Amino acid sequence: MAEDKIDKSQKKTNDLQAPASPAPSFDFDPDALMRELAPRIREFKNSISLFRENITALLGLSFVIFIILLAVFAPMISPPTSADPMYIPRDFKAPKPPGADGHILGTGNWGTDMLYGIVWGARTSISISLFVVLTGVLIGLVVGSIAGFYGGKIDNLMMRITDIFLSLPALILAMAIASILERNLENMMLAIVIVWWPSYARLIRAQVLSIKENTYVEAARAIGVKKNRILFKHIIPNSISPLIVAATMDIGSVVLVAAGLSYIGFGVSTGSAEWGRMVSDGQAWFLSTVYWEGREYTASWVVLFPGLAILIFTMGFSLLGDALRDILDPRMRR
Amino acid sequence: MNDEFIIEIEDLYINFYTKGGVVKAIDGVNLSIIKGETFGLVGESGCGKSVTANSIMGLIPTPPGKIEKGVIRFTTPKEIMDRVRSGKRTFKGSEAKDPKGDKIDIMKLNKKAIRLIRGRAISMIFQEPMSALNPVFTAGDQISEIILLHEKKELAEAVLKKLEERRNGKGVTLGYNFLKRTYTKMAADPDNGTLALMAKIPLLKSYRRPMVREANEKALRMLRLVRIPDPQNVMKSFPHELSGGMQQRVMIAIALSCRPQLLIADEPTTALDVTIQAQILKLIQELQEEMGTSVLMITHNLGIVAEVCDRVGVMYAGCLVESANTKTIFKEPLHPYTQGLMNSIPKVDLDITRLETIEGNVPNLIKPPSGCRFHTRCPYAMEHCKKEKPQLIEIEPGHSVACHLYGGVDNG
Repeated sequence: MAEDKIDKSQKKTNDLQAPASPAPSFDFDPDALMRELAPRIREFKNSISLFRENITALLGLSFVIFIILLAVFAPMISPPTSADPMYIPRDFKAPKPPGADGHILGTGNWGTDMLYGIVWGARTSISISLFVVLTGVLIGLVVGSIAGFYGGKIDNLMMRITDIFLSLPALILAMAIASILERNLENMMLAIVIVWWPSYARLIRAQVLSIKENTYVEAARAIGVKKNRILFKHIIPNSISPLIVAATMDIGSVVLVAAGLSYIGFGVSTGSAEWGRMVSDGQAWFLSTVYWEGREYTASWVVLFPGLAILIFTMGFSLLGDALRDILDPRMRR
Repeated sequence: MNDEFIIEIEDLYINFYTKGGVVKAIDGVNLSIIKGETFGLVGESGCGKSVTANSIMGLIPTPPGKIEKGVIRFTTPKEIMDRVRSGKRTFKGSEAKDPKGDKIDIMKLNKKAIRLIRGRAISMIFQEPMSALNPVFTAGDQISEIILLHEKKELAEAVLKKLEERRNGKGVTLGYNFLKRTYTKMAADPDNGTLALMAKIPLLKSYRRPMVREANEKALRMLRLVRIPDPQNVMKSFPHELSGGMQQRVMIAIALSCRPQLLIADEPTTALDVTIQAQILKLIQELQEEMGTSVLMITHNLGIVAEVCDRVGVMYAGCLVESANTKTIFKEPLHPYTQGLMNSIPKVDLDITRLETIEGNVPNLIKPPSGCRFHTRCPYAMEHCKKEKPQLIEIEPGHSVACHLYGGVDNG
């Protein structure tokens, strides 16, 4: 996340570098900004080259980019036919094999177009996982860092609440929450967030606990820095990289949980463009025999394609997260 | 005579309450440092040198630590004194609300007031420069941080001056009125709440840019002062890109950037190799003379003591056992522990196969020996030593020792 920012500012300064005359220091001075940012840019370039040397990282990244492209160009690949893009167009007939009648990936239960489901399901999956992970990271960061840094009673209270959430099996708790709420995508995301943040809180608390014992934290106190500022400026930037890695890897797992919830029926309604739901819908036809233009087909595509989509998505983010861990770990860097 | 002291520690008792029992880490330490001198504090590991130093900074972690008793009087410069006095609820106890003269009892200051002193009037250099620098910020950022913390007023004045110059020279300056108003306010009251709030709001916080630039310039000057070659580049380097000696120079630049009255150097050269050690020590000495700073040099290396210190205090198991001029302590150490230390220095000109050591180990401070804490290892221990704790008495001017062997002189 931080690197994105650096990237943007780097581009900005490049564009603005044209005026060569030395600007007065109170006006905007691109050269000065460039000089200030130089160390960050250098580190960023180093990260990029480390990333390039890592084959699994590139593989993961290409999977992720593939899914993102699907999501971005969804309206062009398969234009929606109704007002609700989640509704997969269908002909209420038996499944057709891939290639039949212009359905590139075939059709599923009630004749829903598989390609449409996969493409628009990419959008659903990305929005679910980003929302869940970002919200979870935010809550976990606040709870974990405050608990770890201030310690004592605050720590006890916050971590016991976290333990309550962790003591119940995640999927069961999410099911319980989802079943109380109305059955739609938003509530499913909410249910997953509620079971998701405690692990981040624990992770960041453990990090803060170890980082705050470092000499540089004491050195910061010795020069008169305020407590809150020590937490935000000296401790959190040093403890955040495992959280970034965990969050990246979790983007894939969130989709798995979401698919699981949809599969057992807590989530979007049947026939919606959501991969888990599509697997569940296809189950009725899975490996049964269907006929198309006089030929016999064993219907495997009804679950194969959504399953593959989940696999690619999950694997892409896991590989990416793994690579990030190597890159962000200062001991692995040099 | 009394006025010459920069800091006086009287009757300091510090305990740490741990699960295993109460660690009596500091047991009645008295020491004072004269303005401008280098005072060496020597002793074995775990004898309370660093705890003493941390208590001066108000950095004893409580709990488990607790300062049971004691006064640490610090001669505070006037501008800090004024800010301490003007602040509300600056003192813990009511008895010290109106400090006399320019002396302040650090123990009685609250968190807010002690932050005015930390880094500004008393600074510290740590043992391992690698771990004392924050790995995610550049050296320049870290020097600027302390300048931005403590010298807002000076920075604001500098910015205002430049602002006027630019106005007179060129005419148009972007946001002149806004900047002028903000920095006038800042120069008048560096702790202004509105300004602190503004610094947290995106866009509005850009008012700090000229000030940050000023601070960076000062950081660069500090790097030149600590004789770093190519300071422009070091400013932008992360700590891991610098060598140990360079890192320690950056630490020194941080510690000295607000011209502190007292510099605490907690084993500043332990982690460095010998040639760098000499350079760093020389640097500290030179800067000390330049700035008139007093230095409390904590070390267990007697070579360093002989090299740089004016006076020396020897600590053993939480007590100050002897203090004297450096020459005196090397020529005629009085306390048996000091004698033992001196004898255990390897000497080139003596042909011996084994070094002399002090028998036994440092006592467990949860259950320290009764009476004199050294009596278990002392070759001259008497019956009396087990019963009564010897007081620090002045044997001759400037030479004090806490030992019953010399008590007789005082009693007649």
